[in-house]
Amino acid sequence: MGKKAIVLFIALVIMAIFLIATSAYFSGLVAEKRITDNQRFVLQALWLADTGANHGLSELRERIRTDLKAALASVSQSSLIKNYVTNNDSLGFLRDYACAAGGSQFVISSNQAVLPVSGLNLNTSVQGSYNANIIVAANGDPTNPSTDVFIFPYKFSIDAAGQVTNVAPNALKHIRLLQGSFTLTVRKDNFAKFALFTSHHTTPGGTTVWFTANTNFTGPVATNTRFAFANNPSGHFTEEVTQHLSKALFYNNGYSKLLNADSNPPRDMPIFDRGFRRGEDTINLESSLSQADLKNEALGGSGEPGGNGIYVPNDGTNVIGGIYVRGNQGSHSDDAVISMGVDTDNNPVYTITQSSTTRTITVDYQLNQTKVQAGQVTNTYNGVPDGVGNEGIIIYVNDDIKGFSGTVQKDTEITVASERDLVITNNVLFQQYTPNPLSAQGYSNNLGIISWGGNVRIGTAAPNNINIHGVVMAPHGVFTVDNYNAGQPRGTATLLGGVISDYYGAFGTFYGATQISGYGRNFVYDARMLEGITPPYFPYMAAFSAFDSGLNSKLVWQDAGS
Amino acid sequence: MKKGFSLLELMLVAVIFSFVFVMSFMLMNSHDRNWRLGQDKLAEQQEARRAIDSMSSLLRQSSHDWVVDSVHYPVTITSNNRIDFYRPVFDSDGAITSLEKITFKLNPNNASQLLKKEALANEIVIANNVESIVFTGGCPGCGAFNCPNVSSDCPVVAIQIRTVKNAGFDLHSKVTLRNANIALPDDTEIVQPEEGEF
Repeated sequence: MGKKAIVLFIALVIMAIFLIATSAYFSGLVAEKRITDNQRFVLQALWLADTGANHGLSELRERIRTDLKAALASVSQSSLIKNYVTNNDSLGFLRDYACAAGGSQFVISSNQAVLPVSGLNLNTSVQGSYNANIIVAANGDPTNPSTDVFIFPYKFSIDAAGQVTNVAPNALKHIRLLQGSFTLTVRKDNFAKFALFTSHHTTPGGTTVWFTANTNFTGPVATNTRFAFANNPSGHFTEEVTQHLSKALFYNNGYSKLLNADSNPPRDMPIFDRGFRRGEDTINLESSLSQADLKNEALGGSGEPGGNGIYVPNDGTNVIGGIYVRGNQGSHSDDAVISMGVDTDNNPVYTITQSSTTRTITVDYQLNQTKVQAGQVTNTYNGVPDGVGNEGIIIYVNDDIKGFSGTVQKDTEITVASERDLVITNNVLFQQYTPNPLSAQGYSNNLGIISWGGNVRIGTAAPNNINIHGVVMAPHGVFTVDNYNAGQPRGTATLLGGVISDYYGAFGTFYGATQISGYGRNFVYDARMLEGITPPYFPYMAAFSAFDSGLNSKLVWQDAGS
Repeated sequence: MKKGFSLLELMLVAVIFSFVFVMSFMLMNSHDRNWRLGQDKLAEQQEARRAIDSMSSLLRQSSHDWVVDSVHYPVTITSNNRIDFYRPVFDSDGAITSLEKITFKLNPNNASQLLKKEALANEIVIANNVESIVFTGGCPGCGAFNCPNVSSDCPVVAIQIRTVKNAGFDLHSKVTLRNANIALPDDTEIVQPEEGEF
């Protein structure tokens, strides 16, 4: 019995020792895990807070670029907006317009407009959430620098918090994005914003124009009738697409049908990144900036000249308008030929020929002078031919322009307008642009090409693989190619800009994928138009829109603690 | 009458007891030493983590290269074991009013100590028992994180800290500098010690 007790005692001692050792081992493990978990949870909370800040920034951009724009699209009375300027109520403007119908609004308190942002379900294994507050304040008084133009400056910050809940106490982290500022310019919307707009989306002869897999538009696309889509995929549209009629036409493998739908699966499947809205109000191409206004900008308020010729209206010392060419509007004998160029001093030069008369007009931005050369005689005037409103160079021809070509000088914004046909006879290029991928983003040169009463045509003398940089508008005609259905294929016509026309003009003929005649179409949208950078005096629409600057700027990141 | 134990039995029991107690003592002693080492290791880990947290928190708000009135204030890594950078100081409106120079380096008089100096304040020890610390910058395009300078297109600082005891313990962290390419006003104050002070 005594021996058994001793053995039991020894066994207990050994077990106790092992128990202590095992406890110490597991105690270390548990402590290590707790420390590691704490660090992990704090980092997760930080990342959640970062997510909240990014969500807040994204929400602010959405509110400005989508909701506010959509709300302004129904505003045509400038007094509605002017009231906010008169009452110095920038935050009220933001509260009233930067929200979707029925959506939450900014709440104004203590000279700040605050919009809470709730966290989304991130569908991750992290047990936690985030929230953010967008805080906007006025950054100076709103202004009304010219008719129908309103400027609202703002500054903003975003407070965000991330919280991980599977630890007690919860891991919490706050961060702030600081020193944000943006300016909203509210003004009448401009036709130049469209990558493509047609009053009637057919050829002038009534033939349906199908959007196919070869169709890609990176800007807004709209028509006052209906679009037609063929095949799967049948075009990719990165900005909003709108049409007036409620039903779109789908090819349906040859048995076309009208549907009030975005697609006709599985046969006709266009891709809309920002939606396809049907039943929209028609957009009147008789814009708020009319042909008469543009003509008056070129004439500088002076009356119609007595005779045909090339004019730079002036008072003897100063240029008072733009460049005006008067023709007989009857025969084509005195149709103008306009060539744009850049001289060795990097000044823009416009050479305009009408019958046997040639004027060489050189604009010197440095000296703020315009030289008009007629033969051996050169007259120099103060100022540049940028119209009454000083928006940019304006050349207005009350007749046809039978030849248009050249280079837009890098600092020049110009609109060339004719009352009748305008024929492009050679490349029309910006002096500064990015060739690949084709873009004018970040550069100042800009061009509008308008034929008020006729067509904008690419002439038979134009080179193969022609390049045209500018926004083309033919409110009563088409943008088309002369003899598009005859002769050999001419390669591709590349446009960097947009097209606004009454009908959709033909560029060439194809058999399947094989080009038979004319040009293939390569239209690249000039994304600057979405930022409100439009050619000078380009026609405005009836409704207002808003353009922001600064919303893409980098913000200061602050760790606001736990 | 009970029979007593023989001398041999008593000696055998004594030997067995002695053996058991010696073994128990050795086991206890060994576990005690291991437990203390574990505690030390934990303490070192916590210290290393606190040091990394301290450095990360400050680095996150920094920029790879601040520019004030055309003067550059970049992140500078020296011999991989010293880092100098500038953190922004905000006013109540969230505007950056000044940049404070921050330095982390090993103590030249005691290489197992990691020191922090913040602006004009005295340096403090933020970690002991450090065997080594290695700072490296994000390389162009973030192709690697072992460059001597922080690339403008990869504003990341990699930190590796190793403690003295149980020499397998390394802690690594990569910190993204969140305030790259922020424009600062020309009158932004720079708060930093005299050259050579630290």
